[in-house]
Amino acid sequence: MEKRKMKPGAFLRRYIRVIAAGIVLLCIFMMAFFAPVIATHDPMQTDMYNMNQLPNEEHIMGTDCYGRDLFSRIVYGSRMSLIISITVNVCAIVIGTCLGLLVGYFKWADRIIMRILEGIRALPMIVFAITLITVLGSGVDKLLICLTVVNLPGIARLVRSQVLSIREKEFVECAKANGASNLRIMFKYILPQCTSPLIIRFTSGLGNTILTQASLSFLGVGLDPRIPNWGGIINEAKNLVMIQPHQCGYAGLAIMITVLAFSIMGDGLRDILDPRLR
Amino acid sequence: MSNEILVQATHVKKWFPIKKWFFEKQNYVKAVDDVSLTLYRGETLGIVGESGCGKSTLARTLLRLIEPTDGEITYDGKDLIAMKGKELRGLRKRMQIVFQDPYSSLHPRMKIGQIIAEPMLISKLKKTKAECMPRIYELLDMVGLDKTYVDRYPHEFSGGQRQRIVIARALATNPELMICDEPVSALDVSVRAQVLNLLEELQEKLNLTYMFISHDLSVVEHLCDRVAIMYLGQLMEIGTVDQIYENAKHPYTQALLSAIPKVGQHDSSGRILLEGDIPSPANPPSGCRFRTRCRFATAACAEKPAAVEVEPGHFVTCHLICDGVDEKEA
Repeated sequence: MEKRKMKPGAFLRRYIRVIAAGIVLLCIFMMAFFAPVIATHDPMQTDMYNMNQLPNEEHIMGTDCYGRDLFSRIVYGSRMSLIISITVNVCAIVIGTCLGLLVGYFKWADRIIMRILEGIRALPMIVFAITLITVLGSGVDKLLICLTVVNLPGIARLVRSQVLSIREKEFVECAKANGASNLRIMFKYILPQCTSPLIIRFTSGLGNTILTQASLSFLGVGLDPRIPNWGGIINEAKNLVMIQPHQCGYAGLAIMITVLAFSIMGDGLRDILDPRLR
Repeated sequence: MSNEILVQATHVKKWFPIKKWFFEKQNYVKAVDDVSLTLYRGETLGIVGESGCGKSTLARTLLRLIEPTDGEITYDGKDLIAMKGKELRGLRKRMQIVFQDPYSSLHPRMKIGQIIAEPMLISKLKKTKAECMPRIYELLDMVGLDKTYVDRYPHEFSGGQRQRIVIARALATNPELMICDEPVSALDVSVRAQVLNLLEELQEKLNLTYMFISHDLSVVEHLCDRVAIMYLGQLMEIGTVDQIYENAKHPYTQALLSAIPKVGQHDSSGRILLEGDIPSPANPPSGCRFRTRCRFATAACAEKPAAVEVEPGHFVTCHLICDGVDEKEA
């Protein structure tokens, strides 16, 4: 198959979403990485004389109810959101893929593990996460575990459905006829065929996890509220939402832009990677 | 063709359980039901039958890709069913299979070189891919493909070329037995002959034994030494090509043979038309499987017929053989 030369217009139309979202995401990652340079104040420094200030020259986005600089908190908050989101999704993809392969390949595993995963899926995600955190106790590590568990069933199901169709293919049967081990068939024959749905799932999962994590922080069950994070900022500002809506607004905007960029990235990647949609 | 037995299958059965409700009786799809046949070293045995008559299931059972429900299979005198782990893996490289669909037989993300190297790596004949390279070149040359193809992906090839790659892969471990499961039915007619000729050439060169599954009777006549006719999971007739094509005894075989289109023949008066559909293999007729569609069926056919040797090596499973079907037809 020869690669067709694309007109610049068609090329742009196909990749525009990925490129645009990529630029936005790059900015956000840069912001997280260079947070100490960008931030104007120490995000943890309380200042009781300057509480709840409106945006001014000293504080671009104003201060919160403890007098901390909002802009700096949002800049530092991106670090927490991104680190948690990436860690959670990497863990969930790795574990979920292994589970999915196991479940799709072996019937006995399907009966046991899939029932458990479906049980998790049956509960509303937030409620389940809150319950899990209440049981485990709060802390970044607990939050990571909880968010990973919440993400597992979807990924395992995605991989399982791929495995179910691929394992009936004749190249798999041929490998079996040659005496290939189950592990070899799973990782060398089946897994490479699952990569594009997984890449898509990973990108859109990053956005979703930021959202879930922010919701949990907003509900007060996520992180230590002193650590700057977007959900926490909204949580602390919610009492003043009628008087000073900008406090919620800026953090909400940060979440919205990031999640939107990840979703558009995921959608764009799906259109490029999925040959059926071409 | 010698008289040395390579594969001997005795009373092989493969029943697939049907999903049942709680207290229901367990039912089975009897895909292969009591088939016994012998494969001699160096011969080509054709397996012919309608779609769904269990040809492919039989082939997969003989390779132990699926476990038979019952019966015995010996390979080169050794019991194949009892074999486990290492011993079985040692045998696997001696038998290979070529599937019908060359498109799904090749892993779309592997390069041709990797695809052909895989059987050698799996069976631990070679340790690294680099060690396999000379053999890969040799194989590509053997099936008539260019050496430069090793770094290409399967989607860059046509159906015929893909089937050549599949054959090269099957030959990688130097097998004795090659089961060809309708290897040419997915190819168009012009390429079909090339692949068939290639198979014949390879058999001569490498002294291969073929089990050739097909529903194309003219291909089977051209390629095979012996033919087995299957219907609803059972063998109806087995014999040499001449015995079957010149002197078919079973009414089903006769009907099949009369359905071969012939050049220049315009009237279809000589055709034997079978009525009705093939019964469900989950609920096959008792006794002779073919009796619901047989022109000569009598009350005796409700009993299960035994295989009768009408000529040396020519077995027919039919009650009417003693009476002589030929005379009835006349």
